[in-house]
Amino acid sequence: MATENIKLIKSQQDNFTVDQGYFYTFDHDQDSLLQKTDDGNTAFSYPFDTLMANTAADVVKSAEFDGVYFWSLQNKSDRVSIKRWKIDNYVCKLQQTFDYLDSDPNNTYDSQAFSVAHYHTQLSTAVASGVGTIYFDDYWDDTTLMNFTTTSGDGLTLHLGPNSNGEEEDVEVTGTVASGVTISGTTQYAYAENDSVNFYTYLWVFNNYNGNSSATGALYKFDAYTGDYITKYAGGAYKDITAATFYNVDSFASYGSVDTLAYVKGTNTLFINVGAAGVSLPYYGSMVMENIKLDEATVIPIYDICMDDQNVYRLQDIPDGTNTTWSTYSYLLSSLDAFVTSISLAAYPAIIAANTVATTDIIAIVKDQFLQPIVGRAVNFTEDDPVGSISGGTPKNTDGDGRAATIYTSGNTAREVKITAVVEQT
Amino acid sequence: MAYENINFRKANMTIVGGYFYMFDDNWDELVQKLDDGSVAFSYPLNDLIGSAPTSIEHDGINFWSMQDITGGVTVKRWQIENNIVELKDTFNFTPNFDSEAFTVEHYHDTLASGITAGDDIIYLNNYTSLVASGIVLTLGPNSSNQYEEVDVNTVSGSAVVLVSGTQNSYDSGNGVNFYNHLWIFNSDGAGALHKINAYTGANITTYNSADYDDITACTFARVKGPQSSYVNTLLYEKDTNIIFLNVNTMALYGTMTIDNLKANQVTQIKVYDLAVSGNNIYRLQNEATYYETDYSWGSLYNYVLSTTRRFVDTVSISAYPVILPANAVNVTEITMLVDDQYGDGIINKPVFFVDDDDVGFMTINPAYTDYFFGTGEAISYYKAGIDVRTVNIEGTATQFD
Repeated sequence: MATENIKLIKSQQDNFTVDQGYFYTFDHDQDSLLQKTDDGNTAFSYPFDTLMANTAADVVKSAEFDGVYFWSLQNKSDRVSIKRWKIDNYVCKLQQTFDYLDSDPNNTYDSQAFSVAHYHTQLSTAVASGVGTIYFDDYWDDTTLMNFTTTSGDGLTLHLGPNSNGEEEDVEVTGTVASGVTISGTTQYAYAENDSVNFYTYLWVFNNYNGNSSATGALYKFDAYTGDYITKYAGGAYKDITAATFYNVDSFASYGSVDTLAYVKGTNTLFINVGAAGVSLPYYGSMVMENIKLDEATVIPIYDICMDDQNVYRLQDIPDGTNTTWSTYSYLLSSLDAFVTSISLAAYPAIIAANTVATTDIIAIVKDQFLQPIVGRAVNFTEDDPVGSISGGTPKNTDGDGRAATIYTSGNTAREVKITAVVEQT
Repeated sequence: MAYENINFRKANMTIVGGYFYMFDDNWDELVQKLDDGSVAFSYPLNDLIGSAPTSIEHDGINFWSMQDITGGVTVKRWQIENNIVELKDTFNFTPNFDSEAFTVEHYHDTLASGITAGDDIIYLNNYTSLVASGIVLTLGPNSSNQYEEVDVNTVSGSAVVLVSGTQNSYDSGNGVNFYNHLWIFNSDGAGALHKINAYTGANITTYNSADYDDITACTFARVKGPQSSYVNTLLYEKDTNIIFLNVNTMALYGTMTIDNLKANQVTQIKVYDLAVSGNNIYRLQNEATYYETDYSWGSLYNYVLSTTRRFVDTVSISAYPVILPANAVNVTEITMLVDDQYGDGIINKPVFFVDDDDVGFMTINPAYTDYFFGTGEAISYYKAGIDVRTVNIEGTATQFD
């Protein structure tokens, strides 16, 4: 059984995000952003410059980090409040607050999960101070992103740095050139090649209402600079979502590396292509997890989710496959690397005579967590009958569909025979 | 607890490609589970389902669910699209509907010849006679793993004329799936089975019969067993039998006994849903009897197996006369009647006899069941011993295939 790790306090630290091996959580009671280590110790804390109220409704339900800013979501009695924060001089300083009020005649807000679309690249060439064109490795040719305009009419804001002197600045994109963009004005500081370029675009909020209707949920898209409503996508799949994040994922072979909004629904994490046009948003894929109780039937709630490298961290108070409830929240792991996740095993026919002669075909189907077939992997078959045997050979390799087949020959006693298929992840 | 497998929370089940599927109204998901109960995958419902289905089906392309609503039932058609389950159709059947079981009549055919993108006439190998205007055919996958739905305009001879040309090209032998009717068992009144247009929800015919009353589990499948060749059949559970119905003639292909009785051999165990995969029939139950012991799974549901493949199911032994002198001379004819699960006589299977008398003996051992007339009878003779006593004779039929 998994053991407790980061030990976040319930009803006080119901959120987390990760950056460079540290876990961060907003604590409305302590009025601090806490930086925690894997073993639950507080490595550091950054007091808020603007205090949060201290009621149960003020607990932060979801936290995000976009590479520069921390973001928090609170689901208050009369509004959903999203705040942007920045650590500056040892203090967590509030930069912006967007309140989505229930008094809005067209929308009712009830949300536990959100994320901010954010992107990360590096300067492809050094930048001197006072220049109006900068070049970077990725996204410069993504016209949708580079032509992003806020509802106030401002262009995309790029955050440059920090440089070797710890300096950083925001610049506004005005146009694109080959391998780069032009900016409004000029840079204030000089930057070296490979210094960071970060930017964000939209807020994505999972709302349990579609407008004022609770018949389905909806995914709301807001301008992350002005907080203005852009559009919404209705769907039952967006209802009762408690965990979401935005991350660059390379788990889908047919898409390559993609920036995706990931959210948890039941036992799966779904990866939305938020860059697609149309009345609905397509998915890059879906990934099954192990947040099921011991009874194999009850879903374990996930309170927040974040990703770092190929690791998926799920904030839970019940470890996978158990009925134990922790007194605090800790993370459970999933992986974005494909690995053997499920083996479907069936016998055709499933009932045969116990005469040492009758046979049945045994079919194993091996899939990864994305429900993609595991190809060319050896499957070892065993059975528990004293006389019956795996007569079709073992191990057997999976084919292009993840299928491996063998034959079982019956024993001489009428009983339920247990046949087991095992695949080693190599 | 023993003999658990899929551990479903809800009393609905279908099988696709070796995986077990269940609609969960609490999760609002279609859950794909493995034989050991673990979740292989789950698909969020884009339209919340509201209540647990009492029965679900899969027609090769679509999932179908039936739920109770006020005064009747609602049947919904769903499709997995891009990792989400999208609602495609909803048909409400009210009033005077009380049902726990339904299925969709569906067929799986192949193209008799290849087609090029834009073609509006296609030829099928097997089921052209069941295709009609208004039916939607799902073509594919082709070699590029493409599918598409095409609307049938008319059928002329062996040619199926489409409303418009196909979008993709397909090879001869590529799949063609279609459905045509819903079949809903109705327990309101004295029992009825409704044949319904699966595209419009309009009732076509109602068959009234007590045979269709209180049905809780059914499905539609192509099986071999009740007949010597494969048949497309509506199979439903009635008491301790599964009945195979020919939906074209409403005659029966056959009836098969199942072991849904408790150890007391009296109390019937409810079957909540049925699914067929290959020659296996999966019965969804929350209790079962294995080897004369009862097991209950509480609030969870698991499958119990039956098979369409014929096997030795019952044996009955009798002696004529049953009383004979203990003179080491007289004989009695011992008849062993060996039936399969369909109640048909097992053909040409050896029956081994054992008696417990020191002197008396069986004259033919083993005896084989009737080869020519399917009576299932294996006949031997017992020659009397010399002590006056009750002699026990046991017969054992063995299935070697």
